Amino acid sequence: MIRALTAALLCLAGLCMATHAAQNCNGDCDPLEKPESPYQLIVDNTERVLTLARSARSYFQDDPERYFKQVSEIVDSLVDTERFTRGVMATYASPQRYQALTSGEEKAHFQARINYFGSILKHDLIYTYAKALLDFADERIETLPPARDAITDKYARIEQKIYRPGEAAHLIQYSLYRAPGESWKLYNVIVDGINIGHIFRNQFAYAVEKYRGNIDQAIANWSTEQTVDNWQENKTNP
Amino acid sequence: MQSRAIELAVGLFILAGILALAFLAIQVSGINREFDSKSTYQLYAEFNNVAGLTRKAKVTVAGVQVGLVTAITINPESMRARVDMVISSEVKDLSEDTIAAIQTAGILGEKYIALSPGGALETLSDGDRVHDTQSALILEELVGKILTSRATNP
Amino acid sequence: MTILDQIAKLGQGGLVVVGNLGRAGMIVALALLGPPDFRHGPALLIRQLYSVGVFSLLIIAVSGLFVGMVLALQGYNLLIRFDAVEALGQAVSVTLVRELGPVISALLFAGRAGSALTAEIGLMKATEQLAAMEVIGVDPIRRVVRPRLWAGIIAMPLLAQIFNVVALWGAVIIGVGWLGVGADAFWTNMQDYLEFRRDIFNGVIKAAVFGGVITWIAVFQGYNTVPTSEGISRATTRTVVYSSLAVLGMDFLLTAVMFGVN
Repeated sequence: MIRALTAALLCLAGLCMATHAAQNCNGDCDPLEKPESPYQLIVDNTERVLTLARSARSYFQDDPERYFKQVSEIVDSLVDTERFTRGVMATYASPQRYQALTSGEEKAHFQARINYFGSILKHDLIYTYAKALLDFADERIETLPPARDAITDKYARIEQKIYRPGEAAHLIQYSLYRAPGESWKLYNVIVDGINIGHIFRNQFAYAVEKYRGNIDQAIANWSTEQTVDNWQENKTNP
Repeated sequence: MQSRAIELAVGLFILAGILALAFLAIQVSGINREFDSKSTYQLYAEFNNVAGLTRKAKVTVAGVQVGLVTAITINPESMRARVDMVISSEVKDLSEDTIAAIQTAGILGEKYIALSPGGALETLSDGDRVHDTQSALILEELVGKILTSRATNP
Repeated sequence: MTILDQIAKLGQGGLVVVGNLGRAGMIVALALLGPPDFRHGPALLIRQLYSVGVFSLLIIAVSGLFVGMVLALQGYNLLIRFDAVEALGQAVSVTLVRELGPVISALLFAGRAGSALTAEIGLMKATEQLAAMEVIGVDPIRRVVRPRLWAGIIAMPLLAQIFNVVALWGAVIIGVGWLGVGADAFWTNMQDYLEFRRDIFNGVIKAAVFGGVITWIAVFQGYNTVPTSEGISRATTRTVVYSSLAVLGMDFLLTAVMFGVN
């Protein structure tokens, strides 16, 4: 039951990440457009992703890659993959650990590992959850006006409520970060009080322990061990 | 002579009483706990729900106590719980994406804060806020969620 | 007629109670107010501290030891059912510091010092020493009552803290030494929970209030006694009964005020 619950929550989380990751790039995509407030960013992208998901429903069966590619573009523009990945790897990606390394080769491998794991995480997110969006039909999404102190120079917390028919409302909290001189990016989500980054972090720490401290092996076995649906399987069983 | 002995006895009595009070203050209420000393820094975090966390609750990293909760208040605007804590200066370089989670220890359900350091390049310093939190999970709410999701997705 | 008689009796009883209350209040007011007497005051106070404080020390310490030991034993037997014997220090210390310390030492104080005070003052009245004082121009309230009242207010918190410490060590002897609870867990859990302001300071306040109330009742009963040997014995009994009741009642009120909110 715990497993089912976790899976459900992860699905929801992915759905939301993807929701916000999405951007409707039907011809008039402007990558330089930077919404000034994190609130507006969330509102706009929620709208875009819903539009994308609705339109994708018609062509998904014939051309799923097109849909995934679109979601992927949005994830790239909206999610701070490096920050999310470092959050999941936690102390295994910490600057202290980096500085403890002696040879340049090791340091290069350290950074490459973060990038590689980031690509795995992103791939998982996109392929596992983007399709969950396709089931989106009668939901009502309400982005709550942020409290004044919810947005600081570097950090922002935006809350959203998702009303699904026949279910209690889900509360989603987005954690956004803005590096100096850059735009706001998403690096974590809390779904109904469950901190998804925290769960991933614990799972990663557990995986590293399981492989006796071998981080590379933990990463290599990451995807196969997670409770994610295989979209191929779902494709054949609609 | 007689009154001198009485004075001495009374003096000893008062001394014993004050020593007893001092003992209680220091040893029993733990005023001497190391985290009250100067070599600490402060952090705070906001939670949707602290569910029974109290002042003086432990703050841990990897299960080791590194500090304690000094105050729990309500942020009047967001109506979230603000938890102030002091952390021993020996534990420095906590990353900015450290997650503060409220967890339960032992059979009596004592609540504490577990800090889980992340991998971000920036570190938290005195007075900073721990942005990422994991609130206390309420069993009833979890059960309610499973029930509603079961009902709609049999 | 009989009904009227009874009503009249009731009214009379009421008048006596209210009158006594007024006299008791006046005694306290006269004793506590008014200019301090620097010439005789300290010596008188020390004398009284000696008789109410030092004399009560032994009974307080011995009772404290046993109370602590019993608390540890009972607490252990209860907590072991929940596999939570580490909480023994916390349970024992909270019980002691907040409640049992002030209350039990106050009850012992009422029996040991309160009764002696009533008997002493009652005897002074019976042998007309109080009247003699007035004749030679010494205010008996300020000379006799004031130092005793202050001695009660000062001695009681000290006695309660001594009681707490001895009881705690009794609990350590049983809990840690005999039953094998870890000493670290015993002390750490206690320190994690107890707060100086909320627990210990409130306990001191309680004890001071109890000390004042007991001495007040004792002094008034002595002052108000019928000057015969039977009257003195009755007054002494009343002191113990009334002050015990007052301590328990006040304890509830004080607890409600101090701890009721959280």
